[in-house]
Amino acid sequence: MLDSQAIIDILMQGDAEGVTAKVKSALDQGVPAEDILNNALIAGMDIVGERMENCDMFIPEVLKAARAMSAGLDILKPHLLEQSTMAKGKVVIGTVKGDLHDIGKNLVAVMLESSGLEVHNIGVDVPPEDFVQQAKAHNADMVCLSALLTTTMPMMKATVEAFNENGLRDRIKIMVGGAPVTQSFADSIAADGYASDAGSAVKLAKKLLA
Amino acid sequence: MTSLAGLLRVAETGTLERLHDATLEILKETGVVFKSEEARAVFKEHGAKVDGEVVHISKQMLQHAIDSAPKGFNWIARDRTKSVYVGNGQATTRISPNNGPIFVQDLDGGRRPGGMEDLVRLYKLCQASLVCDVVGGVPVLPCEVPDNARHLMVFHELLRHTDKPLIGFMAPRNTVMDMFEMLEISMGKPGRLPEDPLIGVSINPLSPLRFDRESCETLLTYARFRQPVFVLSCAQAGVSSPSSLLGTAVMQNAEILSGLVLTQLVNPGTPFMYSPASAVPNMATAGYVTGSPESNMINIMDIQVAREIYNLPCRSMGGLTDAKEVDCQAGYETMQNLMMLAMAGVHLVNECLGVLDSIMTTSYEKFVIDEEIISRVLRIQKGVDVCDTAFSLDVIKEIGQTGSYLMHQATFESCRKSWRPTVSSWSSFADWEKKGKEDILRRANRKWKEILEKSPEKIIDRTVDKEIEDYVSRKLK
Repeated sequence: MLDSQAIIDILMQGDAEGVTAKVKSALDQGVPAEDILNNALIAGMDIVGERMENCDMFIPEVLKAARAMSAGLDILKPHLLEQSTMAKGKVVIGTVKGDLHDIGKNLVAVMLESSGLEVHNIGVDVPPEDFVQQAKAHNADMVCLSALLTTTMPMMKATVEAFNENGLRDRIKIMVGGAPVTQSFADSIAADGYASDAGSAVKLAKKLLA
Repeated sequence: MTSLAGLLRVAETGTLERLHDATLEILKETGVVFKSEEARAVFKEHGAKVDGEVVHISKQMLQHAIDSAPKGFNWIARDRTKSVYVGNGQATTRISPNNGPIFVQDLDGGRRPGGMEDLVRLYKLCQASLVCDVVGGVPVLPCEVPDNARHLMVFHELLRHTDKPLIGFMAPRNTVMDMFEMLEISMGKPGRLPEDPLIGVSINPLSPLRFDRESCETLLTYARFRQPVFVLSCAQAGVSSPSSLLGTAVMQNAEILSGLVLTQLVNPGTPFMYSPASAVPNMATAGYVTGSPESNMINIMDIQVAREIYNLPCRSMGGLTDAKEVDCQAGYETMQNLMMLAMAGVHLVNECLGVLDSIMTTSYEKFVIDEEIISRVLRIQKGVDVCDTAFSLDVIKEIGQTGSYLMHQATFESCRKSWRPTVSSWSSFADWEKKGKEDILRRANRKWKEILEKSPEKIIDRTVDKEIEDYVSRKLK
């Protein structure tokens, strides 16, 4: 019988060793890996996400919890059926060409992964063609574009166009974010969504990939 | 008068010396990444150890740079009477406007993306301002201007609307060269630039410990023309620098000094402004905020190092607030930030005319209110008149215990010299009520409109303006 609350509590404290131990123990007791993933690890990170949005948990605490979740997930991976991770969605995330800022983008990547998505963080200064190539290579369902500089926001438009030109727009959702980015900018470049922070990015991703 | 600037010291000398030593260790052992091959070649040529993109700077190389950088410089304006001296010995802080906001805000139109019309209005307000000493940067991004035309069109407007000393903005090398040519046309003399500091530029490292290509290109181009370079670090403690205030002070010192070394290697004697502007972010969101008093303490430690150890002119971001409206929070955060830096003796502040919402927005009303806040701070910096007659012994004895100072000749002579507000209310309650109970926002709204109504359409010679316009058209074809 899975004591999901015990794992959630330890996860929320950011105790990676504790999570690993409890996940191993649950597996040893015959609890299916998918149950542990969904009912303890992802469920725990959902609560972390809510507390992050309310500012009850601070970002360093959120990241520690995410790392603890990731440690637990590493134990589960060999035991998970391939479909269970793929079912939720594959994401490619990067900062657009000309922009080297990545802190916010990395936080979004961590939170998306913690929500059960398969995330490929392709770094910074990524040209449109590389976003397309990586999206194809990973069979992505969603691409997330980040920019901190107003001068690099036009590359978001160019990246969306690259996906159009490659006939990928119908099956790949595009989400944008970054300090100078706004909903109206996202609308003007025909992105599927805009998120102002990591918490809303997770919520929007779930909605777009449903 | 004895300037009060420099009286606020956050760290003792021993701590500053340790800060410097810690910086030397980082510069030598950890090094700084310069993404530009050209910049790395300059360091290599002068004997620095370069591993891949990482440049290691020795104590000797750093000391040569500190020694060769000017301790002060005369920043020359198109109208020479408006030229300003910046650096060692300066009594009060110099003021410059915002750079970077993408929205404007006012009582009538609310908050909206900025346009060229707003940019021009803001340049005009800076030109008319009695407290704004240098003008430039981009106080609001004109969103309707195409990206490939923006630099030159914005710079043209700057040249049209101010004859005060200038601040440019980061751009690729060829665009910087174009702007230099436009400036020389406006000054009526090709080849003018290297003769005097005419236009400064602020470039930002990408914390921690990196400079991207465009920052390097801008720095190298300005330094080759011997124009002032300001290296402004804006690290976020706990995000892109250590969470300890002193740790951030060490790291941004390393970033700024590595930029200094590059300017002096390229062109010894290039004017440089040491610009610490890091912040303690909102740890709940890891978002940049401007209102923490702790942020000022980080930057003041570095300002102290610059003033007391390196003797370099220094600059920081001054009149900031995270308030979304021109409200009480906007008032106290702006005053906190500006006053702390002014008391620390910073030579130049920027972002201090109209900032709202953590530098995302420039407010017209706040521009005018900030002018008054600045004038309060500058007056305090100036200190007190301590000449013999200021003690007023004769007058005190004369008036004694009866009589009124109000009718005295000394009061008559000085009554218009004492500090006065430009937007705050000093009326009696009854008077204020009778005149419509106007709050400061309404007064500020009226004031900025009056200033713009009285502003000239342009302050550049028509022929020169046409020549610059033709130049821009050719470049944009």
